[in-house]
Amino acid sequence: MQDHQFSEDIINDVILKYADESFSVRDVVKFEVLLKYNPEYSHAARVNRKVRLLMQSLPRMKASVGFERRLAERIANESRSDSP
Amino acid sequence: MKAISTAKLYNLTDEDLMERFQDGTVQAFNILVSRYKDRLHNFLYRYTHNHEDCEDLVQETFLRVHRSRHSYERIAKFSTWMYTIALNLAKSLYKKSQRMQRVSIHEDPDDSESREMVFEDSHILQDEKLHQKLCVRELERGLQELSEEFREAIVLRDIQELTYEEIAEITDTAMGTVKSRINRGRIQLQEILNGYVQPETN
Repeated sequence: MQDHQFSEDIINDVILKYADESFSVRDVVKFEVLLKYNPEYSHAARVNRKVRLLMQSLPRMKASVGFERRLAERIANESRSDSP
Repeated sequence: MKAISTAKLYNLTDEDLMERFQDGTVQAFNILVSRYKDRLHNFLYRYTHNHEDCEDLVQETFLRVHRSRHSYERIAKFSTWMYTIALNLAKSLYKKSQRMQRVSIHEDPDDSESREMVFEDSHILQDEKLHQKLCVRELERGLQELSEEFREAIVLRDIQELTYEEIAEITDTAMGTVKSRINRGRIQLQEILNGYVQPETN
Protein backbone atom coordinates (compact mmCIF):
# COMPACT_ATOMS: atom_id res chain seq x y z
CA MET A 1 0.00 0.00 0.00
CA GLN A 2 1.37 3.37 -0.97
CA ASP A 3 1.05 6.82 0.56
CA HIS A 4 -1.34 8.03 -2.14
CA GLN A 5 -3.89 5.48 -0.98
CA PHE A 6 -4.35 7.47 2.23
CA SER A 7 -6.08 10.76 1.71
CA GLU A 8 -4.93 13.76 3.76
CA ASP A 9 -8.24 13.62 5.63
CA ILE A 10 -7.65 10.02 6.69
CA ILE A 11 -4.06 10.73 7.74
CA ASN A 12 -5.15 13.71 9.84
CA ASP A 13 -8.00 11.72 11.31
CA VAL A 14 -5.77 8.83 12.40
CA ILE A 15 -3.11 11.16 13.83
CA LEU A 16 -5.67 13.12 15.82
CA LYS A 17 -7.29 9.95 17.14
CA TYR A 18 -3.86 8.83 18.30
CA ALA A 19 -3.36 12.20 20.04
CA ASP A 20 -6.83 11.97 21.59
CA GLU A 21 -6.13 8.38 22.69
CA SER A 22 -9.43 7.36 21.16
CA PHE A 23 -8.36 4.54 18.87
CA SER A 24 -10.81 1.81 17.94
CA VAL A 25 -9.46 -1.60 16.86
CA ARG A 26 -10.03 -0.54 13.27
CA ASP A 27 -8.04 2.66 13.82
CA VAL A 28 -5.13 0.65 15.25
CA VAL A 29 -4.99 -1.43 12.09
CA LYS A 30 -5.25 1.68 9.91
CA PHE A 31 -2.46 3.36 11.88
CA GLU A 32 -0.19 0.32 11.61
CA VAL A 33 -0.66 0.11 7.87
CA LEU A 34 -0.04 3.85 7.53
CA LEU A 35 3.19 3.63 9.52
CA LYS A 36 4.35 0.51 7.74
CA TYR A 37 4.52 2.35 4.45
CA ASN A 38 4.94 5.88 5.76
CA PRO A 39 6.96 5.72 8.99
CA GLU A 40 7.43 9.50 8.98
CA TYR A 41 3.87 9.90 10.29
CA SER A 42 4.92 8.28 13.54
CA HIS A 43 6.76 11.48 14.46
CA ALA A 44 3.73 13.64 13.61
CA ALA A 45 1.48 11.44 15.72
CA ARG A 46 3.80 11.51 18.74
CA VAL A 47 4.26 15.28 18.48
CA ASN A 48 0.50 15.72 18.32
CA ARG A 49 -0.03 13.67 21.44
CA LYS A 50 2.75 15.41 23.35
CA VAL A 51 1.61 18.93 22.42
CA ARG A 52 -1.99 18.08 23.32
CA LEU A 53 -0.89 16.85 26.75
CA LEU A 54 1.19 19.98 27.30
CA MET A 55 -1.63 22.27 26.27
CA GLN A 56 -3.97 20.45 28.63
CA SER A 57 -1.47 21.04 31.43
CA LEU A 58 -1.59 24.84 31.09
CA PRO A 59 -3.00 26.54 34.21
CA ARG A 60 -6.71 27.09 33.92
CA MET A 61 -7.81 30.68 34.20
CA LYS A 62 -10.86 31.57 36.21
CA ALA A 63 -12.93 34.70 36.58
CA SER A 64 -11.75 36.93 39.39
CA VAL A 65 -13.82 37.68 42.48
CA GLY A 66 -16.61 40.15 41.81
CA PHE A 67 -16.84 39.38 38.09
CA GLU A 68 -20.59 38.81 38.15
CA ARG A 69 -21.19 42.04 40.10
CA ARG A 70 -19.09 44.06 37.63
CA LEU A 71 -20.94 42.48 34.71
CA ALA A 72 -24.32 43.26 36.30
CA GLU A 73 -23.24 46.89 36.76
CA ARG A 74 -22.18 47.12 33.13
CA ILE A 75 -25.49 45.67 31.95
CA ALA A 76 -27.39 48.07 34.21
CA ASN A 77 -25.40 51.03 32.87
CA GLU A 78 -26.09 49.96 29.32
CA SER A 79 -29.81 49.58 30.03
CA ARG A 80 -29.89 53.05 31.60
CA SER A 81 -28.15 54.67 28.63
CA ASP A 82 -30.49 52.85 26.22
CA SER A 83 -33.65 54.03 27.94
CA PRO A 84 -35.12 57.31 26.61
CA MET B 1 -44.05 30.05 29.59
CA LYS B 2 -44.74 28.60 33.01
CA ALA B 3 -42.58 30.06 35.80
CA ILE B 4 -40.33 27.61 37.66
CA SER B 5 -38.24 27.89 40.82
CA THR B 6 -34.59 28.99 40.78
CA ALA B 7 -33.53 25.53 41.95
CA LYS B 8 -35.22 23.97 38.92
CA LEU B 9 -33.63 26.52 36.60
CA TYR B 10 -30.20 25.14 37.56
CA ASN B 11 -31.17 21.77 36.12
CA LEU B 12 -32.09 23.15 32.72
CA THR B 13 -29.88 22.83 29.65
CA ASP B 14 -28.16 25.92 28.25
CA GLU B 15 -30.66 26.05 25.43
CA ASP B 16 -33.62 25.85 27.81
CA LEU B 17 -32.09 28.63 29.89
CA MET B 18 -31.72 30.82 26.81
CA GLU B 19 -35.36 30.22 26.02
CA ARG B 20 -36.30 31.24 29.55
CA PHE B 21 -34.08 34.31 29.26
CA GLN B 22 -35.71 35.27 25.96
CA ASP B 23 -38.97 35.03 27.83
CA GLY B 24 -37.79 37.48 30.47
CA THR B 25 -36.31 35.30 33.22
CA VAL B 26 -33.12 37.23 34.08
CA GLN B 27 -32.04 34.52 36.54
CA ALA B 28 -31.60 32.16 33.57
CA PHE B 29 -28.98 34.52 32.12
CA ASN B 30 -27.20 34.68 35.48
CA ILE B 31 -26.96 30.89 35.55
CA LEU B 32 -25.46 30.87 32.05
CA VAL B 33 -22.90 33.45 33.22
CA SER B 34 -21.94 31.30 36.19
CA ARG B 35 -21.64 28.23 33.93
CA TYR B 36 -19.41 29.88 31.35
CA LYS B 37 -17.47 32.69 33.02
CA ASP B 38 -14.44 30.52 33.87
CA ARG B 39 -14.41 28.71 30.55
CA LEU B 40 -14.51 32.01 28.69
CA HIS B 41 -11.71 33.46 30.82
CA ASN B 42 -9.62 30.38 30.12
CA PHE B 43 -10.30 30.71 26.41
CA LEU B 44 -9.93 34.46 25.92
CA TYR B 45 -6.81 34.77 28.05
CA ARG B 46 -4.96 32.94 25.27
CA TYR B 47 -5.76 35.89 23.01
CA THR B 48 -5.23 38.81 25.35
CA HIS B 49 -2.42 37.66 27.68
CA ASN B 50 -3.59 40.44 29.89
CA HIS B 51 -5.99 40.06 32.81
CA GLU B 52 -7.91 43.28 32.33
CA ASP B 53 -8.38 42.92 28.58
CA CYS B 54 -9.44 39.33 29.20
CA GLU B 55 -12.13 40.36 31.69
CA ASP B 56 -13.30 43.10 29.31
CA LEU B 57 -13.67 40.58 26.51
CA VAL B 58 -15.54 38.10 28.70
CA GLN B 59 -17.86 40.87 29.87
CA GLU B 60 -18.35 42.05 26.29
CA THR B 61 -19.21 38.49 25.22
CA PHE B 62 -21.89 38.22 27.92
CA LEU B 63 -23.15 41.72 27.10
CA ARG B 64 -23.63 40.65 23.49
CA VAL B 65 -25.39 37.47 24.58
CA HIS B 66 -27.63 39.67 26.71
CA ARG B 67 -28.21 42.20 23.95
CA SER B 68 -28.71 39.65 21.15
CA ARG B 69 -30.76 37.15 23.12
CA HIS B 70 -33.68 37.41 20.73
CA SER B 71 -31.53 36.59 17.72
CA TYR B 72 -30.47 33.25 19.23
CA GLU B 73 -32.28 30.34 17.65
CA ARG B 74 -32.52 26.99 19.30
CA ILE B 75 -31.20 25.13 16.27
CA ALA B 76 -27.72 26.18 17.38
CA LYS B 77 -26.04 24.87 20.49
CA PHE B 78 -25.81 27.77 22.96
CA SER B 79 -22.10 27.21 23.69
CA THR B 80 -21.24 27.20 19.98
CA TRP B 81 -23.15 30.45 19.46
CA MET B 82 -21.45 32.05 22.46
CA TYR B 83 -17.94 30.88 21.49
CA THR B 84 -18.48 32.33 18.00
CA ILE B 85 -19.23 35.71 19.60
CA ALA B 86 -16.17 35.41 21.87
CA LEU B 87 -13.85 34.38 19.04
CA ASN B 88 -14.98 37.24 16.81
CA LEU B 89 -14.40 39.71 19.64
CA ALA B 90 -10.94 38.28 20.31
CA LYS B 91 -10.03 38.52 16.63
CA SER B 92 -11.17 42.12 16.32
CA LEU B 93 -9.34 43.10 19.49
CA TYR B 94 -6.19 41.53 18.10
CA LYS B 95 -6.53 43.27 14.75
CA LYS B 96 -7.43 46.63 16.26
CA SER B 97 -4.89 46.99 18.99
CA GLN B 98 -2.20 44.40 18.21
CA ARG B 99 -1.48 44.56 21.89
CA MET B 100 -0.83 40.87 22.30
CA GLN B 101 2.43 40.79 24.18
CA ARG B 102 4.80 38.04 25.06
CA VAL B 103 4.41 38.48 28.75
CA SER B 104 4.32 35.62 31.17
CA ILE B 105 1.04 35.17 32.97
CA HIS B 106 3.05 35.23 36.20
CA GLU B 107 5.22 38.24 35.56
CA ASP B 108 3.46 41.32 34.39
CA PRO B 109 5.22 44.28 36.03
CA ASP B 110 2.56 46.72 34.87
CA ASP B 111 -0.22 44.67 36.31
CA SER B 112 0.43 45.01 40.02
CA GLU B 113 -2.90 46.64 40.71
CA SER B 114 -4.96 44.38 38.56
CA ARG B 115 -7.06 41.64 40.03
CA GLU B 116 -5.36 38.33 40.54
CA MET B 117 -6.39 35.54 38.24
CA VAL B 118 -7.11 32.37 40.15
CA PHE B 119 -5.44 29.11 39.25
CA GLU B 120 -7.26 25.91 39.95
CA ASP B 121 -4.23 23.96 41.12
CA SER B 122 -2.17 25.83 43.67
CA HIS B 123 -0.70 22.78 45.41
CA ILE B 124 2.49 22.32 43.45
CA LEU B 125 5.93 21.73 44.90
CA GLN B 126 8.42 24.56 44.47
CA ASP B 127 10.70 22.86 41.91
CA GLU B 128 7.71 21.58 39.99
CA LYS B 129 6.32 25.08 40.13
CA LEU B 130 9.49 26.50 38.60
CA HIS B 131 9.49 23.86 35.88
CA GLN B 132 5.82 24.49 35.21
CA LYS B 133 6.42 28.23 35.11
CA LEU B 134 9.07 27.78 32.41
CA CYS B 135 6.88 25.41 30.43
CA VAL B 136 3.87 27.69 30.71
CA ARG B 137 5.91 30.67 29.57
CA GLU B 138 7.31 28.80 26.59
CA LEU B 139 3.96 27.36 25.64
CA GLU B 140 2.25 30.74 25.81
CA ARG B 141 5.07 32.22 23.74
CA GLY B 142 4.80 29.42 21.19
CA LEU B 143 1.04 29.88 20.92
CA GLN B 144 1.56 33.58 20.25
CA GLU B 145 3.83 32.78 17.33
CA LEU B 146 1.36 30.48 15.61
CA SER B 147 -0.84 31.81 12.86
CA GLU B 148 -4.30 32.86 14.00
CA GLU B 149 -5.96 29.89 12.30
CA PHE B 150 -3.69 27.33 13.93
CA ARG B 151 -3.88 28.99 17.34
CA GLU B 152 -7.66 29.17 17.46
CA ALA B 153 -8.03 25.53 16.39
CA ILE B 154 -5.54 24.30 19.01
CA VAL B 155 -6.93 26.46 21.81
CA LEU B 156 -10.51 25.39 21.11
CA ARG B 157 -9.51 21.74 21.02
CA ASP B 158 -6.81 21.34 23.66
CA ILE B 159 -7.76 24.03 26.16
CA GLN B 160 -11.52 24.27 25.71
CA GLU B 161 -11.93 20.57 24.90
CA LEU B 162 -14.52 21.26 22.22
CA THR B 163 -15.33 18.60 19.64
CA TYR B 164 -14.06 18.88 16.07
CA GLU B 165 -17.66 19.43 14.95
CA GLU B 166 -18.09 22.35 17.37
CA ILE B 167 -14.78 23.90 16.27
CA ALA B 168 -15.81 23.60 12.61
CA GLU B 169 -19.07 25.38 13.40
CA ILE B 170 -17.49 28.14 15.50
CA THR B 171 -14.75 28.89 12.98
CA ASP B 172 -17.08 28.37 10.01
CA THR B 173 -14.66 25.88 8.46
CA ALA B 174 -14.94 22.35 7.09
CA MET B 175 -14.13 19.60 9.58
CA GLY B 176 -11.25 18.31 7.42
CA THR B 177 -9.71 21.78 7.51
CA VAL B 178 -10.08 21.95 11.30
CA LYS B 179 -8.29 18.62 11.70
CA SER B 180 -5.57 19.63 9.29
CA ARG B 181 -5.03 22.94 11.16
CA ILE B 182 -4.78 21.18 14.50
CA ASN B 183 -2.31 18.61 13.19
CA ARG B 184 -0.15 21.14 11.37
CA GLY B 185 -0.45 23.68 14.16
CA ARG B 186 0.79 21.25 16.79
CA ILE B 187 3.75 20.27 14.61
CA GLN B 188 4.56 23.94 14.05
CA LEU B 189 4.25 24.60 17.78
CA GLN B 190 6.70 21.79 18.48
CA GLU B 191 9.13 23.34 16.00
CA ILE B 192 8.79 26.74 17.66
CA LEU B 193 9.31 25.25 21.11
CA ASN B 194 12.05 22.92 19.95
CA GLY B 195 13.73 21.77 23.14
CA TYR B 196 10.65 22.10 25.28
CA VAL B 197 8.59 19.53 23.45
CA GLN B 198 10.22 16.19 22.91
CA PRO B 199 7.80 13.74 21.33
CA GLU B 200 7.11 10.60 23.30
CA THR B 201 9.41 7.78 22.32
CA ASN B 202 6.83 5.00 22.30
